[in-house]
Amino acid sequence: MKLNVLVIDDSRLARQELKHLLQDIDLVNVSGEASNAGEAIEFINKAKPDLLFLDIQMPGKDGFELLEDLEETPEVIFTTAYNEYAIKAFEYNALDYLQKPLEKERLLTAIEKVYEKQSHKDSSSKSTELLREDSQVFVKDGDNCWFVKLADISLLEIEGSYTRIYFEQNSPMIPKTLNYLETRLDPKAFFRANRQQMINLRCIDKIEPWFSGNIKILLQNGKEVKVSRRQTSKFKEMMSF
Amino acid sequence: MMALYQGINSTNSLIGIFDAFIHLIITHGFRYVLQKTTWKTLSFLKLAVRVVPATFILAVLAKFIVAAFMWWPLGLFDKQPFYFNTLIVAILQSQIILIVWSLIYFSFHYFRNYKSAEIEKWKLEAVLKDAELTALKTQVNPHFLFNCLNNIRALVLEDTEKARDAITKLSDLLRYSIQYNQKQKVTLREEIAIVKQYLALEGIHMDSRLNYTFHIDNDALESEIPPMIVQLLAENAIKHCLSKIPEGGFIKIDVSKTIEALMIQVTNTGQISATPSDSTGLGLRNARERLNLLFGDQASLRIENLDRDNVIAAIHIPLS
Repeated sequence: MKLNVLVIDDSRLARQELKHLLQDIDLVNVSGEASNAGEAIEFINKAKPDLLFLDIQMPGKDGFELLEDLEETPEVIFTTAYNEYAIKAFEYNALDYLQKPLEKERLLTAIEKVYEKQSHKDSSSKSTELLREDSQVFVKDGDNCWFVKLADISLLEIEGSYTRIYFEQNSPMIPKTLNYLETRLDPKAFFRANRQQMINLRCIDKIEPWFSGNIKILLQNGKEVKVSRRQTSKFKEMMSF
Repeated sequence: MMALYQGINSTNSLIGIFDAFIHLIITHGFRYVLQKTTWKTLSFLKLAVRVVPATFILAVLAKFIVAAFMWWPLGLFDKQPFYFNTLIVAILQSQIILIVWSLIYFSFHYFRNYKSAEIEKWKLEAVLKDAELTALKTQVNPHFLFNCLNNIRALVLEDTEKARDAITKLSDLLRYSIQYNQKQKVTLREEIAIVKQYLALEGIHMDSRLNYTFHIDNDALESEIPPMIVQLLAENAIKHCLSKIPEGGFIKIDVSKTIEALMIQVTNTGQISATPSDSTGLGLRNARERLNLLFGDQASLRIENLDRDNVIAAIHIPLS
């Protein structure tokens, strides 16, 4: 298996340089290049590359905005000339961040890390139209950035026209509506408990009866979710088989 | 005999306490008045000329109040005669006390002022150093520098001659920017040469996204300007405008010279926001300060949106 790679940089020479470095690395195959966010998004949606080399500073949409526009983000290695963006928090699902001019050794280590991660992924369900549990989304909240695996999200909550997601100790917002996300998430994994909230079925700790036959679900992170009447019967139905 | 002695003794202590009390009130009042004057800032001699008569008046006042107290309610002058000499001595004693008090008061304030003046001086120095450092830091934009090196790395494979050329251009630019704060003025010829190198390097990075033209009056070439000032405008045009536009745009640099003034205009595609970022604001402020230092308050640097698609930065240096 080789990783399919998309190189995104506004400078032609920078792309040239990266392609030159990548051509000697067996683990990757450069499947395309893009000089701006628009081209990149089009390519990603069509060709679904495994890994992006992404320059942060680009005309039009920058690298972060590009990622925010993606429904599902491939693995990403940031390449940038100078860190003036004070990228502070990549603690979660830490990814690599390389400075140009790239050093070949550093580049190889970064690619190996992605390769390692990718080979553990379950590739069987790749054909499905819905987002898989091991899909990751990019979330930026102020100065903090995360790549969040869907499986790690325990709760999604309506916050105006945005959605607040809960994972580990964090709860940033993503600029998508809960109704939209519901259509994209696997119903076997995520359940719409009520108008406001959707839960990850794997993160349920306890189920308790609530009044008038409804139920209350306690999540592993300590959050309580009350399931609406209509959804209670749906939930019971789901759980019965 | 014993009883009489004790009577005198207790009357004396009563006068002593009253005397001390009056001095306390007078020094408080004096301090209150002093706070409204500028005496604290005076030199020692000028201060002495004022303090000696002032304390004399206050001493007289104090002793007259004490004498009045002795006259009534104590009624001492009914029993013993009033000696004028005693009064004079008492007044002088009182004045000495007040002068000592003034000495302590003014030396305390002198040291306090000295200390805060020292702190002010340090603060000012720190601000200046800070400004210098920022100026140094903004000389070459690190983003530009590293992109440039990365591009040259690729050029080495693609076009060796062009790569070699780019290294020379970058060297020129670095040398110029490192040396610039050693000089107050450079000729426009030197500055424009560097701006051309800079734009050529940015052109390598941005490819067809960057177009630029120069129109320089030949008469203007030997005019003197503060170094890195046109460079700053060109860099700002790219950093804040052109690098954000996917299709890119142009930079036009025009220099004209009349008998009255030297005009440098940098026009470029894009729009600027009303509130520039901190580093840009600082860079521009620094440039304005350097212009004003060299050419007086009539020299100016203005940046504004020319129309909906273009920005103009104009430097005006009067020549008369």
